[in-house]
Amino acid sequence: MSTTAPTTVQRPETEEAVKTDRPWLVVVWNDPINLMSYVTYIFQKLFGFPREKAHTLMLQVHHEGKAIVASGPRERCEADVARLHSAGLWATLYKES
Amino acid sequence: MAGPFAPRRDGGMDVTLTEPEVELLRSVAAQMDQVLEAPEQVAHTERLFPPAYTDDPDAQAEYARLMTADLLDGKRRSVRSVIETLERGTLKRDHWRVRLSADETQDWIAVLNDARLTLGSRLDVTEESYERDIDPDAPDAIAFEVFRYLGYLEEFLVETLMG
Repeated sequence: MSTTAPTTVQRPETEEAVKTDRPWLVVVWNDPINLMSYVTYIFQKLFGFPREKAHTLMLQVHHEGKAIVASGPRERCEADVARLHSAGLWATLYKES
Repeated sequence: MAGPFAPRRDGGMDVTLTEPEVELLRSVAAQMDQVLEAPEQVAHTERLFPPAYTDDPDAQAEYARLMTADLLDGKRRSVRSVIETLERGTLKRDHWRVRLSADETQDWIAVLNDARLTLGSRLDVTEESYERDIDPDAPDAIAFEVFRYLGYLEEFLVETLMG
């Protein structure tokens, strides 16, 4: 690493900054093995959703094939995905474009 | 509600099963323990370690590098815990009983689910598999029966926990 002090400070372009701020999304995908009741239970347990919201999200996964269950900074989304994986749910994350 | 599980205030569970059920669960837990020794060498375990990034191989490699060991550790701990509770239970007058702590109850759910994911992948289960009658002469008939039984038990446990 250079020890020379920079003469100018690089500022991020505004557009780049906006892009960076765009949230990451956590998606849960439908699969034929996990029980509907189990998926609802895991949504309640991991995210603290009320039962009704957890149930609605589960139905969305079941009928539409997927649902977005969380969003935010990458690190937090990745941790959410890891918790969902630990519970055996099929989850991925991606950045909104 | 009469059934295998009676909830406790502390999030734990009183479990009542028949001896054949416990024998089956011991066998399933022992098999899962074996599978988790080296899951990468066992077929149909991909579902236990899903990818987090499907369109970025570098990010996925990094995720797997950081997370897989912890994920595997957690699964192994849960199986060992379940095996311990299956040893601890006692048989009296045809009823096998054990009292689970809240943590042990979570271990039971995790292991039932992991066993179903592994067995279900091996059986190539689809949404339609649940409706179909099991052909008793099919080579997979017993494995399908086990898969259904584990589903029944997990469903009961989850419903009991949700109240």
